[in-house]
Amino acid sequence: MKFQNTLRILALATLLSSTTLATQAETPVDQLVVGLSMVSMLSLDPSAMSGRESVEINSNIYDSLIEADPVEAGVFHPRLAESWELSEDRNTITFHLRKDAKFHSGNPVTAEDFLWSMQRAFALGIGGSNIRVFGYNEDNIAEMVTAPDPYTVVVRLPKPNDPNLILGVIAGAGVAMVIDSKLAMEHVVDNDFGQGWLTTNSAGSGPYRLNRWQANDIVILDRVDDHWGGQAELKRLIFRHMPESQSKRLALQSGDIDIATGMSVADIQALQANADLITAEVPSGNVYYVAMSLKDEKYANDKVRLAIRHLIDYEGINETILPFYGTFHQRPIPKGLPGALPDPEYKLDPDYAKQLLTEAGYPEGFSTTIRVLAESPFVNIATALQATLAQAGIAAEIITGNGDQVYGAMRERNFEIIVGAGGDRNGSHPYTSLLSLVYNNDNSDEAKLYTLQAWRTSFQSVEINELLDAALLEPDADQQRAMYEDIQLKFEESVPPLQVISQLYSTVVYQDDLVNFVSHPYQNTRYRDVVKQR
Amino acid sequence: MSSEPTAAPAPKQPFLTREARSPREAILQRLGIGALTFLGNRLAMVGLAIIVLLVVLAIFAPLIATHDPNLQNLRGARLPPSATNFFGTDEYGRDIFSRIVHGARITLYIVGLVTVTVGPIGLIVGAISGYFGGFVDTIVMRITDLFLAFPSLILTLAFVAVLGPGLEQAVLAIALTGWPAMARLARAETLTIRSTDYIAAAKLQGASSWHIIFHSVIPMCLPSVIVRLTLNMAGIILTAAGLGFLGLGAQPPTPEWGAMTSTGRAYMLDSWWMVTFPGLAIMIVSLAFNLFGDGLRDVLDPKSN
Amino acid sequence: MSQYRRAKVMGFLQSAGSVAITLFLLVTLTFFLGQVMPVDVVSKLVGPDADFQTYEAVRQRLGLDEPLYVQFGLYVGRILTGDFGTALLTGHRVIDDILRVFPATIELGTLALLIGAGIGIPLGVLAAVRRDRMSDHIIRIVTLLGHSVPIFWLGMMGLLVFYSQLGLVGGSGRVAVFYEGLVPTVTGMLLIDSLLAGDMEVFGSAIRHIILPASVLGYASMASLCRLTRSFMIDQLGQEYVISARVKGLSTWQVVWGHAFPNIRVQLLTVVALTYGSMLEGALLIETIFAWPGFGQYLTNNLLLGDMNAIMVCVLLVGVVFITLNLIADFLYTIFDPRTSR
Repeated sequence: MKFQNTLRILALATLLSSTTLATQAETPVDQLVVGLSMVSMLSLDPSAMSGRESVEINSNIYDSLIEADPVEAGVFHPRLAESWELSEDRNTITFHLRKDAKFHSGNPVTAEDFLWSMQRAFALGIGGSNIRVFGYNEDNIAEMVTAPDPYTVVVRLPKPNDPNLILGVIAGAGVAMVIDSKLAMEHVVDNDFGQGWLTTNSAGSGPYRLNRWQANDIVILDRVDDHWGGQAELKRLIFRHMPESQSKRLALQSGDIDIATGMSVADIQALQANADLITAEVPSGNVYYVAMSLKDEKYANDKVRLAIRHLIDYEGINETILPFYGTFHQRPIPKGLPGALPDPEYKLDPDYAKQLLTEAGYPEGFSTTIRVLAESPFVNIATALQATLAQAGIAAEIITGNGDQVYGAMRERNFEIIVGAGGDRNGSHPYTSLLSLVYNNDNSDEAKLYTLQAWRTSFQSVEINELLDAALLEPDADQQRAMYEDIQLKFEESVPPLQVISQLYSTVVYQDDLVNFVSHPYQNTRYRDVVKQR
Repeated sequence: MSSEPTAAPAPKQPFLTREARSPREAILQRLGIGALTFLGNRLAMVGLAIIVLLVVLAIFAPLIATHDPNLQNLRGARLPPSATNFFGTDEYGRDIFSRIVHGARITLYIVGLVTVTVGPIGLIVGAISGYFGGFVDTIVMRITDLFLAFPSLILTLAFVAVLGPGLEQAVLAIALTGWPAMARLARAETLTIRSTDYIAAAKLQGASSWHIIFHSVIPMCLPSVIVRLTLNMAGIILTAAGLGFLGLGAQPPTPEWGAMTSTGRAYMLDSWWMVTFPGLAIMIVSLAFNLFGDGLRDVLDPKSN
Repeated sequence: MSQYRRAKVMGFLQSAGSVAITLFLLVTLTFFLGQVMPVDVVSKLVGPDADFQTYEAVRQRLGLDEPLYVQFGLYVGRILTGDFGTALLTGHRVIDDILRVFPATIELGTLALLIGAGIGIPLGVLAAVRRDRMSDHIIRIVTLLGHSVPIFWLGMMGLLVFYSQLGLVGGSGRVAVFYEGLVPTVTGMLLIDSLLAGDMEVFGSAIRHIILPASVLGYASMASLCRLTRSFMIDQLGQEYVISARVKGLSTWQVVWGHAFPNIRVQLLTVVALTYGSMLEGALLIETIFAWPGFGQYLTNNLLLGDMNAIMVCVLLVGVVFITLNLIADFLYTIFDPRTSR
């Protein structure tokens, strides 16, 4: 009896090897449906910078003064500001706002709204990490960012810096998105600058307004009719929480969704055969890395770190685990940016590693732990690393966790090995990449330089720090590039505890009837010009 | 619950059908009748056979498995079932058949550890609570109420959320949610046993309460607690698999079946074997425990006959 | 007789008192579960790239730097006044979230129960009547399989066969995505709301989406309802009135449905009430598989995210629902069944 049942189920299962679909539905022509994971979408308040998905959705509800070009790094386009100029001393940027821009409420967009939005982020203490880096804080923000008249914004630099970096933040980040201050102030509770209200409501000037957001379920945006910048083509944008890659694949195939992000390698590969779908790889400045803690006695030893460098199967990982999500890369500055160097071509070499371990006093290897996010591709990389470490006698236990568990341990500087990703996720400037990965100006535990991966791994090189500080202010582009190159070589030479293994890409799959859809590398994908052509 | 002999012993009857004269006799009688009934139950025997097979698989896993369960071969990933890989390979090129064979150890480990924790704790707490009654009883009952108020998976999840994911944590969480049901059962049994003649006789002979609990009450509760534990085993397997499926149970690269199913889910459309075989393994083993437990219940719970 | 009933009601009130104690224990338990949870909510909120200043500011704003007993006092006080707080991570009011997700689960659970009871009870009766014959054995195996099959696996297999392979049913979610938000929310149950709005397109899509998860969930409840029905029925069939009815010349089925079945109705009702509750457990896994935006998914998501506030309210709610269902079952039993005189 039992076997008959078993056989029946087996037979059902075998049916599935040839996948065909009986029905082919289509999304309505005036709506766009995006399938994505909303797990890291924790707020739709533009000031709270968390989660790339929130930034993308807000980029369609709110406007910034300027917009970064989705393809060319370092090129900006006017949006709320029709023009801007840099002062002689490269210390002040002046933006001239257009006068016809209106919020959804009908209020005009003014320089005051911009100031209020900026100050609000600092006053609330949410987000703003990426702008604090430049020396802005709650005490000086009102002084540094001013509005001499309702349609002029003046941004001063608190300390000498490369103004292009500031432009990048103003173009991309949530803190620089302009909120309708009059409307938000009507909903203030307990001095919260309208934060409670803004979690489920919108007060922007963009082409769409928020209809509903149900956490980990759905976000619906409605078009703003007669928009000041021209009415968008699509009536509704629907973002659906679809964490599983296979559901997205099925939904794409059956036409239930138009765009999917975050799909697995196997599923993207399977969809390559479908002529109705387009795959686009979107670069980012993040890199995948294997990080060791110098606080751990074993990894404080240069020879052990050198051994680990040769116990990573760079090729295998990039070829089998990371197609569509990473390309072979072993240096902190992403390919394509000024200062990027050819890869040093490190290879898996267990024999050499074993010899190094013997010299280091670990002829039998040792046991260690690898902390990693419990999600693809991270856990797959860790599993591959575990297998190659074992070839030199290193027994590694994998500890999986969610973001705060894994990176939390890293922030506590209490880990052995972490497989992760980091860097400058916008990837628009070599300085931010290096800052994030190699710079550490205070190696004490109390410094809590959470944003710096070098601090997290307890790596500090005074020489590199000084070089990077100098490179930032170098006005000569060639000279600057040479300095960035030099920093990378010095970093490699020191056998750093952080080994880059791949440059991160993200891949978007979408229906071929979408026109004008360009996935933005800084998560600022805008849907206002997207049309469906059938 | 169970009907216990209360009248005076009748003379000259076959051992199995006459009234018990002592706790020991009562137990032997139950076991004897049970064994006979059980052997006649074909489905239960099938269940038992599968369980024996599972134990054999677990003990001789390294001999039976055709591959090292953790050996990766990224270039031989996600191969369909074949003569070399009976159940195909997974996303790291590991042999699924070998992983399932080794997974039998994990399953038995979980089931065994939970059972040996939950059984004695439930039995002792229940017997003490039932035997003494009063304040102790009230407290214990309120606590068990609280635990029984939840579907076990939800409470287990809450505990795992506290303990963190992992095999030992999963076992602990399942055990934490499992003991109250046992305590309840042991208490109910104790209440009936407490009023039997031989307990009264033991009391008259001046046996201490603890002596009676450990030598008379607990052995008498044992059969029904064992049945219940056996019936629970299928549930434990499913809960553990559910935890593994949600990523909160055994962590990689442990070949736990639920976790294997969960990983396979990401490749379900192309590699059906990755979900099908671990899922079948869970189902077959859990069915075996259910058949076996069902047979045991028929044997030991007179009410259902 | 009425005095007897009054005594029963008093006993019921007494048990309501002990329920109150259980509830308090429950509130305490949920609070401490939330406290010891090894999850750093703050770092989630501020993201992996945040600096220390941001981190500390957010921690203080959430009140996580207060001493424990203060936090506990605030918690109990808020619960008593019906303020369930906001989810730490998303800032949404937990009660709003739950009011949204609960109807989705009720809708799924109710349909599953209808399927489970609709098939399970007749099968159970059949098995009892045909006891120890072939059909009884087959039913036994089918129901034991229902107890043994991992529900998440069955759901996956169902999706593979009926959605991906045959295209007979809808995929994940409650409705095709582009129908989301088109029907005004009245009851929160999409089948009913779409009917109220007269939108047959949405209704059709909703039916296509609910039928598979409800069937899978229904199978598990069918299994336990069938087995219990069988044993209740066997009890009845052994009673003298059945034999005398048979002697009077009534057919088997007349006796079963006309005499025996009415006698087990109350028992079945209480069992159904309890099964309804245990459906929550299956929903937990099924909703994950089918991306069903219900209570189960809400709870699992928050568990994985570590949102203590949301988890505490969810666990509290599950406890309350279960205690209530148990109470109802007890009450039904005490009022209608004179045999339980404990």
